[in-house]
Amino acid sequence: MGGAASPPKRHPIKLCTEIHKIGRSWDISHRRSLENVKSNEMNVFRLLGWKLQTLRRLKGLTQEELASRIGAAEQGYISDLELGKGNPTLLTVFRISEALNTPLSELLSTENVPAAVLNEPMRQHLPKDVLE
Amino acid sequence: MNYRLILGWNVRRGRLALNLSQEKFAADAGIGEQGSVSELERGAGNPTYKTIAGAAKALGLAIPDLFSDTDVPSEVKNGAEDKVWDDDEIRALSKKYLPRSRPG
Repeated sequence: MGGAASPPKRHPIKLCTEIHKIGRSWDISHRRSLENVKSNEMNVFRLLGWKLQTLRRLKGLTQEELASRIGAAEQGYISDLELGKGNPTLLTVFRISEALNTPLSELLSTENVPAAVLNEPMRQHLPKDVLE
Repeated sequence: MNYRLILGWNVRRGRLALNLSQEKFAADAGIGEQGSVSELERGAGNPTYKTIAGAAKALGLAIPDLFSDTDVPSEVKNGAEDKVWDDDEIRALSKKYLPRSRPG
């Protein structure tokens, strides 16, 4: 039964090892970043801002269009929220979820939000009138 | 679905499950006054996102959990849009659906 299967080539194995290594280190760093989210204070304002911006773009709306749909006077209001500034009321958040056709639970969920966003420092969240 | 009432109920259920007074919960959640916790639970007023996020954190829940209607009584889920519980109503609801909790 001579020499049926050729010996495995060198480089696929090497490649495999490399991928494995990268995978492991990604996994470790990803897990570490998730731990950081848990242990530190999660930046809930950036969470809302990121979701808002992502969903708004997905629906093909401009900041102006979204602002007018929720009855906000200025486009700057949406821009602030997307940056994690301001402290909207439940009614406003609810109107946003309706305008984006997205349930509240999905609008406020951390699913698929990059850890880097959740880990951003909390400094930006103070309402404008507190900063002035 | 009445999101305000569902939010209030989930806060109340979570707080009672942890055996926290409204005062202690207000402090944990970074909510200004104990009175606002009572308002929040009764579905009164228009809480800010910061209050909602603080409440979730103090209860060890994710924010969307506070808007989940799982095991929320139908009276709460289907409450009229402008419904706000008074003290007696919310106590009666708690007695009916959260019998093992101490009233508070």
